[in-house]
Amino acid sequence: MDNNDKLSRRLLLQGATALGASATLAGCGEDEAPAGPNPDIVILNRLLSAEYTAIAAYTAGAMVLTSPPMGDPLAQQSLILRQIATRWQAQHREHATVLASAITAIGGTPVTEASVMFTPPSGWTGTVANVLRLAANLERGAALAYNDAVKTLSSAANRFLSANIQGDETQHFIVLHALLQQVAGAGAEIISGINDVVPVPFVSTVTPAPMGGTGSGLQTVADFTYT
Amino acid sequence: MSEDQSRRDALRGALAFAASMGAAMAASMARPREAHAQAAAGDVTTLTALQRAEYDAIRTYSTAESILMTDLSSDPQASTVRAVAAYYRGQHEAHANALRTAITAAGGTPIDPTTVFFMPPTGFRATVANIIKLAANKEKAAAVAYAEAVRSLGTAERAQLAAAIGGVETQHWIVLYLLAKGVVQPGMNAATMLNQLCPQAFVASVGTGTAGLEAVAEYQYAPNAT
Repeated sequence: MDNNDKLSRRLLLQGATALGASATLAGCGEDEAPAGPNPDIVILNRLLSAEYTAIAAYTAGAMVLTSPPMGDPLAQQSLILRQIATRWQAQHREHATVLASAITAIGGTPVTEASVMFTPPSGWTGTVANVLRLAANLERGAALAYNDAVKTLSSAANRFLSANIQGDETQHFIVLHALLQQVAGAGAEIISGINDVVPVPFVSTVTPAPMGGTGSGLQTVADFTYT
Repeated sequence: MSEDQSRRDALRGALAFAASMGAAMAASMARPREAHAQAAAGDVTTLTALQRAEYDAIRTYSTAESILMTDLSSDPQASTVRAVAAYYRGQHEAHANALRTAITAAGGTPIDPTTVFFMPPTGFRATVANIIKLAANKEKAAAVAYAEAVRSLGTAERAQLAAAIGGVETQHWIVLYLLAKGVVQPGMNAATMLNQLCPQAFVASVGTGTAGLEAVAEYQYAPNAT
């Protein structure tokens, strides 16, 4: 066989190989592992940063609620609000834990809490009402961010995670919003019912539970029975 | 073997190989189409189940409004609870409409709302307290259903729709839950600003004519405590 034959054979084989490769690529679906770093890593890390921001904001808010300024008209409610804020901060920490796990699971490096600095917004002064407003703004922003993430995350599991946390942020938001708009106020059972003010950190139970957390979803909240 | 013969053999072999690869490629292109069709069919099943739940919520609230306006009209909480029911019912109607659009886009047939009837739980006694509890139970179940639907829906767009609705059911739920438990009560602005008990029908806009929390203005901070 001369060199032309060898070249012809090689070209024919190369063409057949190219056909085979394109047949493999044609089977790609939405959840197939992408080449290179998983694009969900960036999105999940952005959400994780937001959770650490919320945690830091609640720490700052708790300091104001512990010692509200003289003459603050909401000072009497600050103790109850601080207890609620502490619980919600723990829920944000559970969100951060599951997000960090999800990032690690797809080969990413989670952002660290230490890398996220909270700076109060320009013009913000430490009053009880401003703490509520700040928290409402952050929770609303978080809910929108999580919903947007559902649209952009590539894996169904990560979209579920995002929606699962989103539903907790929306609850935080509406409680704060209803209080600030004065369409709802403390009821007779507020003291005994503090743990009911957004009772669980997720919409649907997360298993296994995140380290240090419960992973509890609304399935763990008993249905009302009728009298 | 002559040079012509070996060349013909090589060409014949390569053509046979290419033909087999072409057949494999055609088959594998058909597999994604089949898979996508199956995924869309699965999504239609999920979306129609959610739409049925929305119509159930609409019927529940509608029945509650009637009872609150008639049998329970003397209860001091009746008018406030009826207004909340009417408002939340309107949001569930928006959800049902958005789901109808999504079902149709996925090639499915939306639920006929006239096929959904309200069935009270066994032994249910209509009181204001029980109506709030019934609504809370249904909103909780819906919130969980929507979160689980996000896990199974095949496209990011449909998943986002489910999340955008689910995040409103969670708001409905927590308001009703806290009212039922006596942890909160209607505030001084409840009569005139009831829509602030859930300002938007979606967490984020899901298309033309819909709005979400992005339309809710950020709070501004007051310079002092008064």
